[in-house]
Amino acid sequence: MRKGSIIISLVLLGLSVFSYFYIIPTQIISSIPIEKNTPAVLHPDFFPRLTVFILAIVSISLLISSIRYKTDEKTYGSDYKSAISRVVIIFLLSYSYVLSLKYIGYALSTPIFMAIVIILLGLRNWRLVIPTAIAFPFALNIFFWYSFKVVLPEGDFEISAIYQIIIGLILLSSFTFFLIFLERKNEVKSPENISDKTERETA
Amino acid sequence: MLDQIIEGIMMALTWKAILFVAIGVFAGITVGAIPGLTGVMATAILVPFSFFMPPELGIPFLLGVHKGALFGGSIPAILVNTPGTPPAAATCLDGYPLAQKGEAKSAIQMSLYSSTLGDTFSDIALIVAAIPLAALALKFGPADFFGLLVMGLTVISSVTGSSVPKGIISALIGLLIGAVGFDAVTGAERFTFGFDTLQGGIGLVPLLIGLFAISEVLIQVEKKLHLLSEKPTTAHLKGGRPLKMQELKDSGRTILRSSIIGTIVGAIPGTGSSIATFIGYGAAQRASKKPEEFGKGSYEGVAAAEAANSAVAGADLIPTLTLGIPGGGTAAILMGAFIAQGLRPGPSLFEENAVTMYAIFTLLLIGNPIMLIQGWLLTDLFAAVVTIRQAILIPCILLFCVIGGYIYHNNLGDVELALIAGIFGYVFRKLKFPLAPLVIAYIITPMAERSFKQALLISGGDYTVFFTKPISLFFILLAAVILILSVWKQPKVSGE
Repeated sequence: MRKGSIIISLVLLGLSVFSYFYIIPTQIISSIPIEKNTPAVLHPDFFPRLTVFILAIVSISLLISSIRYKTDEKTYGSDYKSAISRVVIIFLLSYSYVLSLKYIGYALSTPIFMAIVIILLGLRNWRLVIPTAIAFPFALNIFFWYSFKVVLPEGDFEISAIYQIIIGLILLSSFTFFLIFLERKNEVKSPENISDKTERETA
Repeated sequence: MLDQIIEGIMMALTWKAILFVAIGVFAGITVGAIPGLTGVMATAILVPFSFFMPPELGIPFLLGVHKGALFGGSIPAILVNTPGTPPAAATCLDGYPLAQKGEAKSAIQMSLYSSTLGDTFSDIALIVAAIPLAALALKFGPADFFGLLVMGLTVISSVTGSSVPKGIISALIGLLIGAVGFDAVTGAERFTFGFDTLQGGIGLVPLLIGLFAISEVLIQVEKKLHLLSEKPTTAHLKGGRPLKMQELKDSGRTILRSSIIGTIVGAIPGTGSSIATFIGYGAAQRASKKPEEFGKGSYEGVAAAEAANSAVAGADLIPTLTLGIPGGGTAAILMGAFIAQGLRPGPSLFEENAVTMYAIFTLLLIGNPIMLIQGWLLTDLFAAVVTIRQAILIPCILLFCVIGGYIYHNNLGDVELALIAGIFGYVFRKLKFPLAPLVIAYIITPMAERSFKQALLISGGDYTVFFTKPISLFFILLAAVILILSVWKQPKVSGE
């Protein structure tokens, strides 16, 4: 990946120059004024400056070596693109799940999050999706409470556990069916699934 | 000293401590048995649990995980030809052909015995080497210590990963991440960008969970959908025969050889079990009476690979505990956990916490028969983990990561940090940067900075202090030689 290596080393070089001249001077704040005759070593920015300086040198050497040694360029197919988009979706989903914990709480948001991820990963069998999405988070909740006395985020609702389970169950099952319904519709159209299937058959 | 040893042994021999080692081994084997998930990851997601236990229970628990994960990795290697952990890749070569012949059960038993023997060997090496090495390191001044850390980081950056510059860049980024938070000397705030969460530095647990566990999950997600959602086809465990005593005896020499190789390789900082495994496997093939059987289902091959990879478990801890330089990714996590429990690995560890250390050594040894018994009795259970669909396992692990990040300080900010570290780790891995140097550098930053500043204060700001002290000069020269040698070899390995 020669081109890739060149880009990475240029980015790193740029970053180290940027940190040396901008981030380090602005983001290292001393609460006590440092006396003028303090040796340079004792300054809080000494070690980071040294590190960033070496980083710049090594980035240059990476740049030189990636220009000198030619290796085959990889080509990425459509399979790869769909895999990457799946990674991005799962990451964003997890992030919004964590943000939602603050407001909706663990007991309600987790089963929904679990169900979406399982379905995204290609499992469409609701007999497996619903029990996993409900039982596993519930078991974890109980485990953490009884063994470590940890209360997982409760959210703003603070509904009692039994109601949470009932509401969660209703929400989750309707949601799962809806998603599976959507996925089934897409399955016929999406070219990725068709190629997936033919691959499976040939295998 | 003798009374300290006895006190340590007594401290270890409580039913609670032994139970926690057993739980750790069980958890380690289970996570290790999940195809494609590494032992480092197993330790990373289980670390937060250890903080709820006192050190004399939390540390044994983690040591159990460390041991168990290395053996657990061989189960999917043998049953589905997918190593649970990268070091188990060599186990696939012979384990899977054996499973295809219907000998999965005996192959797993061979792996269990050789893992246990390799592990025991390296534990003994650790116990023998640790105290003299720590005593030697105690004589080091700040300049010498800094030289040692520089050498350690150089070795780690040069041997892990595909290219030396990438290894060094990874270590330097680790040093910068380690600098976030309050500066120990002046109390200055560094790189906090106005976030309160960052004032105490980037937390160990969110960083580890992100870099090792979440990034791993994201890599697994890339797999083809039908691989994720369908039940894996596994070789049959039922109907297999138990391993014959003769077969174990025949592999005795191989196990010993691999154990020695694994221990030596493991003791060098940064060289993980993957390297040890392939050296051990290669050596066994050359020395074997039946080299033609290797790769086609040789019990000796399984033994060679497994003994070497498990021998790294104990040896990894030699530089970690005595010098404070983690031997590898898992050792870095263990070191972080030690620090969080109030035990600071390094030369003075054996002076300040001698009794606890002897207790830990005792529990390390006790962990081996525990692993043997669990592996023996519960093989079917662990094998069942292999057959669970990945589409179900992955969200469960993701949830575990989220909760692990949360329970660390009951703070959702840590979980967000873990997710960000996760996507960072994912990109880092995709660009073929090794993660181990980053984590090791992150862990040793405070130590490196302190010894660097102390040395220069003593010398009155004279930078030649690192070259005029003989020990420090030796380490720095050694680092330079290693660096030059590994850069020299680079073109042969290709620029990638």
